[in-house]
Amino acid sequence: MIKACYINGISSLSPQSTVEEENFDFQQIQTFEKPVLQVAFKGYKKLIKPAAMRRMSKSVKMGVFTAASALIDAHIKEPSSILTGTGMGCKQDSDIFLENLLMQQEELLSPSKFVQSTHNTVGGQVALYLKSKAYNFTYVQGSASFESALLDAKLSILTEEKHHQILVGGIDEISENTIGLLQLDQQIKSETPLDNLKLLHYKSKGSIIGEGAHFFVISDEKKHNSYAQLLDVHLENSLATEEVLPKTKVFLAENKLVIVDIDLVILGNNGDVDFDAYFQPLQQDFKEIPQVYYKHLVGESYTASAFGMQLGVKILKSQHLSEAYRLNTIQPQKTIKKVLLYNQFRGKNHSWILLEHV
Amino acid sequence: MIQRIAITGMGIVSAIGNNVQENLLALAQQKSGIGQLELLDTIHQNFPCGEIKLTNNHLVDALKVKQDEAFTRAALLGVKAAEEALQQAQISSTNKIAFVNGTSVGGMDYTEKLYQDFSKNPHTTKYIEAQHPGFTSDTIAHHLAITGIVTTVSTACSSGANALITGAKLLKAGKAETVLAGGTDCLSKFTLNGFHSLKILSEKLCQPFDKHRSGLNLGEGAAYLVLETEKKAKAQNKTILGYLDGYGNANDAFHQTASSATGEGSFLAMQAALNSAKINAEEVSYINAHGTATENNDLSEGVAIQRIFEENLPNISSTKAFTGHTLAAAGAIEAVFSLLAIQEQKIWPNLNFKAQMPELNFSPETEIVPKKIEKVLSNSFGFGGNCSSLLFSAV
Repeated sequence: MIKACYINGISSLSPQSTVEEENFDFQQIQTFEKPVLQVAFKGYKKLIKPAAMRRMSKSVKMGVFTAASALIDAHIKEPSSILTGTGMGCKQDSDIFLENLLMQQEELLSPSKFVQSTHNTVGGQVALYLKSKAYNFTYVQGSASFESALLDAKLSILTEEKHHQILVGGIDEISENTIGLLQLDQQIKSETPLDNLKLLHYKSKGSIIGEGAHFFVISDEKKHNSYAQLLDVHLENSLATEEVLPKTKVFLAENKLVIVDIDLVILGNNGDVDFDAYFQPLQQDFKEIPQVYYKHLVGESYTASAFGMQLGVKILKSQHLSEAYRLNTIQPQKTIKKVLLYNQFRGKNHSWILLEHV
Repeated sequence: MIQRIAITGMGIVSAIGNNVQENLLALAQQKSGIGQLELLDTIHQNFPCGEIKLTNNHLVDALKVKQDEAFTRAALLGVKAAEEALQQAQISSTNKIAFVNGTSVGGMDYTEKLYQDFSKNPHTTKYIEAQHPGFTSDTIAHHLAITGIVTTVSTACSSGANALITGAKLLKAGKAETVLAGGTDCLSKFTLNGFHSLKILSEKLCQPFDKHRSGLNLGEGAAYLVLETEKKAKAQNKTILGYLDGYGNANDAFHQTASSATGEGSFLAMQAALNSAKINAEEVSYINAHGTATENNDLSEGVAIQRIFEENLPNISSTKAFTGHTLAAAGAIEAVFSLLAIQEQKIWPNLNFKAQMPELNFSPETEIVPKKIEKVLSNSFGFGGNCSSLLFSAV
């Protein structure tokens, strides 16, 4: 029996969220003049008690909030497992502990930042918030961190005979302390002022950076409120640009599909002149179908692709394509049924996600 | 049909040896690798650690690593252990295997060394990305020419055990045919100071499950297993070292760093491992405990073991007093020790134990116990309430 995975709940916090409202409806696009796109949302107290919130770092707040509201969206109380992906983990607390250690020359350190610095802090804090003793894994694999968690969700449904209500999320935060290091590593564009909506026009190294948390409830059970079906997810650690198209075709073939079966492609272009060539083969071969991109809206981060997935899921549900994220001008000719996502960062940690309309 | 997971290769580097044979010899001679720090540059020289006395330069030469690559110490140790595992499993072509790594701080050793100097020295900028654990896994994968599925589990001290769980699931779901899985972590000022700030490091040699235990000793190391489906291993006439027949993970959901008094998370993880292996508790011959020698862990784990096994306790020991607590590598290192217990039909001793904990009704083994060993349960617990248990079976 082939077991299917359905996406039954979503919550997303990104630089496009407003101060009050987490979920971005694409009505009002926020613009940024700096290459650092932060989450301005302040409405955490809708779900988190102030006393608990005081001890929470931004990652933990964003993660706990979106995990809890994805469960509400799916009408679920208890998840059967909690899976998180994060590229950098709780970067702010980790940086502070490291800087204190270096400045104080290993003397008189408080443990509070250290205990929050492990990469599974968000997963652990979601478990504490929900009082959930369920299976709890955290994946940290560069730009394939969220996809690794998503893959685990699919593996769980395929290999374990039980009813699954899996919380899967991607979380990353900006740490002010290390923005300088990312600039030094040419990960951030230096143009000033910089218009995030023109990200792909700058022919320069690096991108704009962002942060956010995006949680999904994935189940083996199709419900009246299911958003979409997750058909498959795949990772490849390193590829040459010319290998992207053949690997994409193999992935589609494993799902008994060919290029013309795909109705929409969502690409992770981030405007880095050295690496956007990885997206070119798909932009070329999928040129007859609508193409979407998203990093100009939320910035690059190791888990930005989780925003890409929630965008794909919402497009499948609404069948609406906003001009805000169109990469080409092709209009959908029929119902959008199958969506393919592809992402990579600096030629590493390539991922594909395949979604289907329900 | 769901396949049985066979282990066809293992590799290890720890404070008690640079390969499986050396580790086995030290276990058999009851020789600990914990002692004075010699390589890590820290003011906290009063804490004994399980340090591997191989410098990074030595490892770079021995492993034929390209000088222009950004190898963290965790990556160097990882490559060393992984090459041994792949060789034993007779994997000559690595391009079709999946790699699941476990690491807690990844390249933190280079980050803490260079953090204040990155801007001054352009040759060091290649290490800026090394702070995220995935970078260490990417480096190992690249050196081993693994290009496909590569992922990293980072759940603090249960990472290595959890990487083995993910590896087993990849095989069961048919997403991979061969998986290299395990963990690696090196000593760093970051972790040493972190554990020191929590006041859980001991200035003495650690005493797991002892009434007078005074904290843990940190260690470093790496270990990997090659996992394949039984069908594939048999079709290729490979020697099967043992089976990973069961696994469980649960969350204590009690506190970010402390374990609950009832050991709820560890209880649930062990129960899940037994259930997934479809065996009764009485069938377990040996528990390789997490046993870090902290006040909190050993009590919580001990209570959980008593809740599962009641009157029928198997032989129990923690091998942390040999290697120190190797964090993300611990689950993988202890998986190798569990398989060696099966291979040698011997229970490894719990060094430095003197007095039973008054709260518990058992003492760990203090000498090598020869015994018929069919099933071994191996525990690994981490921050964030993360509890894992693996069940290994003899062939």
